[in-house]
Order: sequence, then C-alpha cells, then structure tokens
Amino acid sequence: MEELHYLAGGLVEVFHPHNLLMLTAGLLIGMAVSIMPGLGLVMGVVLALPFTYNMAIEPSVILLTAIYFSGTYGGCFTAILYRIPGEPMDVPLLWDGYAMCKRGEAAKALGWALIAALFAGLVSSTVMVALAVPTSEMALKFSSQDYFAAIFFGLTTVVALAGKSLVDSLISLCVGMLVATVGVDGMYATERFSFGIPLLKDGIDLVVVLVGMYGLGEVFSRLGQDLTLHKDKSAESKATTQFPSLREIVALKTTFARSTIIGTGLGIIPGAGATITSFISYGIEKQYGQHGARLGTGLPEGVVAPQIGSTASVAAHMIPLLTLGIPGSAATAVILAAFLLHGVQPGPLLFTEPGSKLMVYTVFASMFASVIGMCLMGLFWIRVVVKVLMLPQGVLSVIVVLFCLVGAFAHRNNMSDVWLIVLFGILGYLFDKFRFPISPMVLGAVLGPVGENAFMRTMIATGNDWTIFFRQPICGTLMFGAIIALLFPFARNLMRR
Amino acid sequence: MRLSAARINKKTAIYLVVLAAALFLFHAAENFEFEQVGNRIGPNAWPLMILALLVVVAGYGVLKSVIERRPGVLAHEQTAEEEAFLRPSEIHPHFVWLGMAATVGYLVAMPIIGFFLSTILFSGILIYVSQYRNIVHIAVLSVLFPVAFLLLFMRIVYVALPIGIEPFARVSLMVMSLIGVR
Repeated sequence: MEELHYLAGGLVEVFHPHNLLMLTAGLLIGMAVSIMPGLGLVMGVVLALPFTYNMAIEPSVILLTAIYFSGTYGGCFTAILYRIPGEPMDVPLLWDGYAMCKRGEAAKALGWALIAALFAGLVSSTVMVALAVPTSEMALKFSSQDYFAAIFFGLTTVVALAGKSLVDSLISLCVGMLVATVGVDGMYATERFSFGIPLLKDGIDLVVVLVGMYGLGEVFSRLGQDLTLHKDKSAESKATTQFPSLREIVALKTTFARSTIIGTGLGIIPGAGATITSFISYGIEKQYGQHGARLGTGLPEGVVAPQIGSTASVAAHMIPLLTLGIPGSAATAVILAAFLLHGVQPGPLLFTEPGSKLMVYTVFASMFASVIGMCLMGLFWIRVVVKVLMLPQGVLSVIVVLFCLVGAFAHRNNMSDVWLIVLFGILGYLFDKFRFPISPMVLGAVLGPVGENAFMRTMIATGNDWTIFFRQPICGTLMFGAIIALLFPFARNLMRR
Repeated sequence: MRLSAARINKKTAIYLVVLAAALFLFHAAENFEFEQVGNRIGPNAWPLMILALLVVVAGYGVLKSVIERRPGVLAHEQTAEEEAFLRPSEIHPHFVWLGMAATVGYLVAMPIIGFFLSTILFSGILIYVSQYRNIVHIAVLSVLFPVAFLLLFMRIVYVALPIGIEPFARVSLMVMSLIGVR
C-alpha cells in the first residue's frame, strides 16, 4: 500500500508544469529520433543529456526516460508506411507491417502497433513497480562480493547478447573497461595510463565516451553511406490509425502474453536491449505462434510481437538500474550518467529515504504517463511527426555534430572534452566499420569502475581470497549465471551446426 | 551473406593491432608507480586482469580468423535485406575522412576565429560532404545554425562559447549583441 501512496505522490509530481513539459518534450524527441534513420533513441537520449545539467534530477530523468519509451514506438510509423526502419529494432515490424500497408491495411497495422505499445508499456511498468521494492530489499543485503558478482553477471550477459562474435564483444568490453581506468586511481592516487598527457590525467568522462561513440561515430558512419531515402509519398496520406476490435485483440491474447513475458523477462537481464527483445519476440512468434509459418505475409501478430518486445523491455531495464545501479542497455547507461551528474547514485539506498523514494516513484509514474502520452501522440500528431523525414540527412548530420560538440563543451567548459569526443567519434566509426559492437564498450566504461571498486574492497576484506566469489550463495549463483551466459554463444553455435 | 577474404584479412590485422596494444599496456600497467601496502593488491591489479583477458581474446581472434579463412565459415544466417537495413554498406569512404578532417579543422579554428565564424564554415562543409548540393540552402543554413546555437547555448543554457582572438572576436561580439547575448 505504501508503494501505491508513493506512486500517487509521484503522479502528482509528474503533473508539475516543468516535469510535464519535459515529459512532452521527451516524447516528441523520442518519436522524432526513432523515425529518422541514422539517429535512434540512444542518440536522442545522449543528445538530450547536456540539457539536463542545469535541471533538477526529476525532470532530467523524466525527459530521458520519455525519449527512451517513445523511441521504441515512433519507428513503427516509418517502418509500416515507408518500409524505412528508423532503428534496427523496427526491422521485424516492417516484414508484416509493410505487407499490411501494401494490402491497404496501413491504418490497421498502425492500430495494432499502438495497442501493442500501450499494452506492453503499461504491463511492464506495473511489473517494474511490483519488483522494485523486493529487488531493492534483496540488494540491501548484498556484500561487496555479491555486488561484484552482479556486475560481472551483467557484463557477461552484455557480451553474450551484444553481437554475433563473442571475440569482438569481449574486445569491445575490455576496451570500455580500460578507458574507465585512465586517470588517477581513487584508492592509491596512482596515475594510470595517462602517459604524462594532461588531457588524460583527470580521466575520461563518461559523457565524452557516450556522445563520441553514439553521436559523432554514427554521423561519421552515415557520411559514407547512401543517404537517399526512397519513400512512397502517397503513404503519408495513410498515416491514420484504425483500432482492432476487442474480438480481434482477444484472438491474439497468446501473442500479447508471450511477447510481454519475453520483452519484460529479457529486459531485466542486462544486455538484452530493445533490438534483441524485438527480434526474439518476432522469432518466438514465428516458431510457436498459431500462424507462425505465415508470418511475414502481413499478419497482425508480426506487428504486435516485435512492438511489444521492444516497448516492454524499457521498463524492465529500469529495474536493475534503479535497484542495483546496473544499467542493462546503452540508453539506461545514459540515464545512469544523468543520475551521477546530479550526485545521485541509483541503488537500493534510494528506496530507504522518503525523499529519494518519492523521486524514484516520480520516475515510475512518469513511465505510465509516457506510455499513455506516446500513444496519444501517435494517434493525433503522427502526421506532423513523420514530416521530420523531409529533413535532408546532411542538415541532420550538422545538427547532431553541433549538439555533440557544443553539448560536451557545455559540460565542463573545457575544449579538452571536445577533442576527446572527436577521438571517441573516430573510434565509434572504426568500431562500426569493422563490426565491433559498441554497447559492450559503453557498458564496460560505465560498469568497470563500479566493478573495480567492489572487487578491490572484497580482496582487501578477504586477504586476496578470490574463491569467496564462488563460496557464498548469492555471489556463487550470480557467478554461475555469468559462466552460463559466457557459454551460451558457444552452445548456440554448436546447436546451429 | 559471406564475409570476403579481404574482410577476414582486415579482421586479422585488427586483432593483431589489439594484441600489440594490449601487450604494450600490460607492460605499462606492470610499471605503475605506487606504494605497496602489506600484501594488498595494487592499483594495477584490475587493469592487468582486463589486459590479460584482452591478450587472450585478441590472440584467440587472430588464430580463429586465420584458421577460418576458408569461404563460408564466417557466413551467418542473417538475410541480405536485414543486413542492409541494420548495417548499410559504406560507398563513399572519402566523405567520411573529409568529414573527420573538417571536424578536426573546426576544433582547431574555433578558439582562433570564434564559435560563430568557425561554425559557419564547418556547417557549410559538413552539409556539402553529406551529399546535399543546394548551394543557396547550404549558405542560408550555415549562417542559421551558429545563430541558433549561440541563442540556445548562450542565452538559455548560459554557456560561454569561444569568441576567438582579435579581430575575429569583434565579429563574434557584434553578432552576440545583435541577438541579445551579453
């Protein structure tokens, strides 16, 4: 009951004018960036981060989570109407969505996507609220070795799920963790990997890594690609929504339930981003769905499953972030950065103080409001929002680069940060060019210092006894899970052969 | 979709570069200067663990890419259409390098000629490099972007953007006074 009381208080906070403005702005930005190929929700969250420096923590997180939520929904419009996936997660949507559009059922496909996003968002947000307190209570009992094991588990699942090559994912992860070690170490005050370069002595700011790798790196990659969008002009007139009947929705109840379980369940595991949950939901539907064999020919199940998979993962990702301080995806890594920039460390302690608890529940309440808000926007404003596709890619590139560079400069009024962003932008481009996944690198940079801290404390407390990680129930279970996660890609490859 | 032999060779070279860098950093980490406290592990323990893993993984990557060089081994089941959507191929690598050079030039020029003038030049070049060819639009947008960013960051976010050195600083100050930035 106490949780409902805080949730109601949070809802009141959400409707404060400033918070509501940030929520609306976030929903619009999320829709716009997910529609434009080459942007994407992670970049949207990254680009919005510098604007949160002067804000209070609540509107900052509301803005970023609203971008994250609506970013999983906006792309359905261009995927269904123009066969242009704004994000990789929208690719499964176009297989059936565009087929429905070609049959003259575009409005119906958009209606299914809306219902799926609404259902997934509300159910997964409810699950998030229900699991938050028990998870945080469990996390309060964590010792430093349990905490290290939880981070180790998170890092291994990120590696296992991030890309096709385990080798490339591990290299990416190691690079990220090494980047985080640059500068003066907090325990011994020793300079590490600075090589006497003043630029590196202060360490590398997380924002620099995020903005460089996701923002600038993506723009550099796009410069070399064919930037012409071949869109069907007549499709714009089809940008209306027709809701399915209740009977049609009930007929797809298994798809709704299955995809919500997949999206929410996988979303809690660090590493399974919205793209992975979208593809897996579609794949499972194809394999086990009643009409699985006909998926791809324009069935509502093909729209519902991936849309639920991606939207449901958002609220699920917030559970490890808010209760353990472990981000499960690139976007939650940026949201963690926003918390840290405001001097707030997400974790179980947030649930112990009434003030911080209200802040957390304001974020929770904003997620319910985001889900409803994004669906209303999708219903009424989508004709306006899809106009962003008219923006030439060249113009968009300049806007993104200027936001990246000026936004990073604004962080500390320091040109060194801007130079580092360009370096990480080039690194991001090279990662993309040579097919190294970026998310393990970014999550390595985020989780590396936390992991190191927990590891060092454990080693000091136990006199360098590393077997402690395997001898106690919580950390032992988590380490076992980590080993399973590392073996998973090998098992998957063996099964394919 | 099969990865070409050239790509695999490139990949081998990348793994070799990573391996060499990891070995160099491992050596650097072994020589960190710190005061040892009893038998406590030092500040180099964590980086050494990461670097040891990196050496093993990169070494494995080199071996794997050499052994699996025969065609088809690295093929995966993703469809060509899916791959094209997820990772469009690079067809203008020279534009990428031009874009990077323009960005580096922008950072060099900004403290000298100021944010306003350097952004005009940079925006024009980057829009052109991004394959947009309407010169009138480029000219108009190149002026609009720095004005919009000056307004946004100096009037709303209160960030002091570089004004450059004399005589360029005078231009920056004039523009700032025109748009109401003090």
